[in-house]
Amino acid sequence: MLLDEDSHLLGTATPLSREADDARPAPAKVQKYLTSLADAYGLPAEVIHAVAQTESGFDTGKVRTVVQPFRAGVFSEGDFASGNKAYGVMQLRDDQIGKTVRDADGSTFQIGVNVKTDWRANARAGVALLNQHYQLATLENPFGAEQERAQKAYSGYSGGAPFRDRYLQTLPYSDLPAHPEDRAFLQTLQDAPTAATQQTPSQSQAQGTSQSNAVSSGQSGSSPLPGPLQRLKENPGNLFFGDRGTSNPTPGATSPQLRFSDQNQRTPPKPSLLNLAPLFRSGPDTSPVSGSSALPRPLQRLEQNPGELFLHKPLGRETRPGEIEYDDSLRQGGSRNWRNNNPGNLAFSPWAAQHGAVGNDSAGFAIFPSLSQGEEAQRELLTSRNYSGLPLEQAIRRWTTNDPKAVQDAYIISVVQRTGIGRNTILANLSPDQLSKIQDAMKIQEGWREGTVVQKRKFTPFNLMP
Amino acid sequence: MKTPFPCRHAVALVLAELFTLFGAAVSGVPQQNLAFSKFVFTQRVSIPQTGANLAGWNFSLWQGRIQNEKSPALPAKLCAVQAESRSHAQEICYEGRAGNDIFPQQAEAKPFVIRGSPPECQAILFQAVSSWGGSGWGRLLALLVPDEPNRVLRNLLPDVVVSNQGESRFWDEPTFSPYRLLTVADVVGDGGEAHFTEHLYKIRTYAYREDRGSFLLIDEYKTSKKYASLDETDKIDVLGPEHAVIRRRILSLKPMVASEERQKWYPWDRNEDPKAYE
Repeated sequence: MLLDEDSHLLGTATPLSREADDARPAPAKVQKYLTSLADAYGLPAEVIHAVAQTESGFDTGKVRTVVQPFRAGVFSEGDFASGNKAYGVMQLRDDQIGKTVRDADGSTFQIGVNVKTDWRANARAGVALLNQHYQLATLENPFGAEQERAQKAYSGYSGGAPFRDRYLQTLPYSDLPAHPEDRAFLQTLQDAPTAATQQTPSQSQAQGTSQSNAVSSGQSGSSPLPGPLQRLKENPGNLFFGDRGTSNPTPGATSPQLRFSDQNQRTPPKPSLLNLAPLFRSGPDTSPVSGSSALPRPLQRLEQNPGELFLHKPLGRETRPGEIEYDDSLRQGGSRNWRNNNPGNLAFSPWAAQHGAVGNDSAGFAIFPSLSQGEEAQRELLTSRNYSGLPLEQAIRRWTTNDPKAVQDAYIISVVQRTGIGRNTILANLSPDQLSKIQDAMKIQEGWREGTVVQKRKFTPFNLMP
Repeated sequence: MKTPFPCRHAVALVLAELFTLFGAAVSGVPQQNLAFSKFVFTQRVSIPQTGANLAGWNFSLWQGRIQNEKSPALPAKLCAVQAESRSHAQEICYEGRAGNDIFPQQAEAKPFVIRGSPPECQAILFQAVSSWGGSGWGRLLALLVPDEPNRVLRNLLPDVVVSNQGESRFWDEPTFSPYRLLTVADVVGDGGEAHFTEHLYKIRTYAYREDRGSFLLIDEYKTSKKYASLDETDKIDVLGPEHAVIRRRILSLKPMVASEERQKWYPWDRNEDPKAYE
């Protein structure tokens, strides 16, 4: 059972004031409770906040009649029953009352009728339902983008399980979802402050110095661009199209009420050039992440590297067996670890993706955009907790897990002979130079053999001319 | 005590694998095992409720968790509960473990016919992967049936793990056994070889023995030639070229016929060495 983090705040309140406070809690209080639920379930708080914002605008007293949606004449499981009403901050429906869901601690509970009146019960049940969709979306596409996972979860939550892919239907001339609720959710999500910005003023003050340092040292490199910039980066063509969907909303659509917090009050972004204008204004109010410079952090990066706006994710994909295509070249033949820029033959996994892998080949090995990134990922893995405490021999057995012992023995002998490092040496005790030697030996044992590099022709206005 | 799983009430099976959200009508009894919450529900495995030997059971598949900085690994698992049960306390589970290895990732489960000829028998084919991020990983294969008297989901197979350089295949040889056979090919180490170079392979074949209620190793040999591994190919293909050899070797054994015929055929019933088949 989750504890209400606010309970201590209510300790001195009279029963009457507490009741009044509980009946119509402030959005901030609802947000805080949702955040505690998010932590308990291990879900991103921004996603839950965006769902609550889209569904009810954090209005715990909101009740609406759910209009039966037209599904090409077919109503399948998950659709709303006719005459359904939706209640509260997470807009729980009549037909969801009585369903059994899992709490964050693994126990099951039944959604009760109190979701109509008790905003905490409503939030708890809503997050439990959302969690089902989110986990399913994660499992279906474990390496997918966070945003897509959230969109899929919301489509399932809002439209029912059979419509989890509803968000993929987009408006003509735009990459925004066609369904108004999906669109409102996406806009709210993209407009939401990142977790780093969701902190109290005192926390901001306390961390002010370190945050400035983080900006200057480039640690902010992984923070995404704001929604419009991100879409522009992916679809430069959006520069020339307005957002027809938002300007012509479907009747009955839930209009996004973007009052996430007073400090971040702004209108929903549209993927057009006009919407970039506010972001280029100097001044702290427009900055999604406070920094020492007048420009928001993503724009600081853009200022330094203007080309980044139109750069795409580095390419690394298997075009056919034995051939990997990169941005500037094709690698053909050779050994797998050479083709994949993956000297240690790391398996593709979420971990590998977080450490630079851009894809996998058909046998399941990671592809890195450059050899140095592949080497770096191998080094990171060997120095991670799963390996660093092991003797060299055990580390190699773990590296080649489930291989027959004789294959592992050959591997160990090869590495020990090539490096001169004892098989009982703990990896954590190796010097950087010794670790490099081990990596080199592993590269050879993994079969390193160079093949053919075919440079791709770059098309410029000059070489297109006859 | 092992109990031969019931295959008497078998009917035709339509394989179905549906992704459904967890919405079982359970009574709201709190789950006793808190570690349960760390597993991630994946899928309900649908069994046609038509009286087959798995009918009346609901199966759910749970992904495990790989080891990370904060928590140890948990194996993936398959759980079964009788449809009429109102409590998850009645649930029986099989966890993906083999020896000291645990298999948390990429768990899959589906109904699988292990005897096609009437009466039909089925089990749940469970697979999960073990990987430490390096160049080797393994896939655990299990054929699971509920063993109600012993309150377990019993694996009809011995520990069968196929490495990423290996290959496995179920196949039929009705003249030898009415049950499907499982054959696994995996590399044999030979000093001085690189990890994914050409290797010799060991071929193992397992067959179901009704009296034991499980699959047993009935044949094993090492290939006479080396086969390409992951440096030369994306898809290991050893069992295809070796099939003729495998079949010839299997057919040279005494057939595993129906139980009423068993007494006259099994060598261990004639005081021969039973280890030869185990």
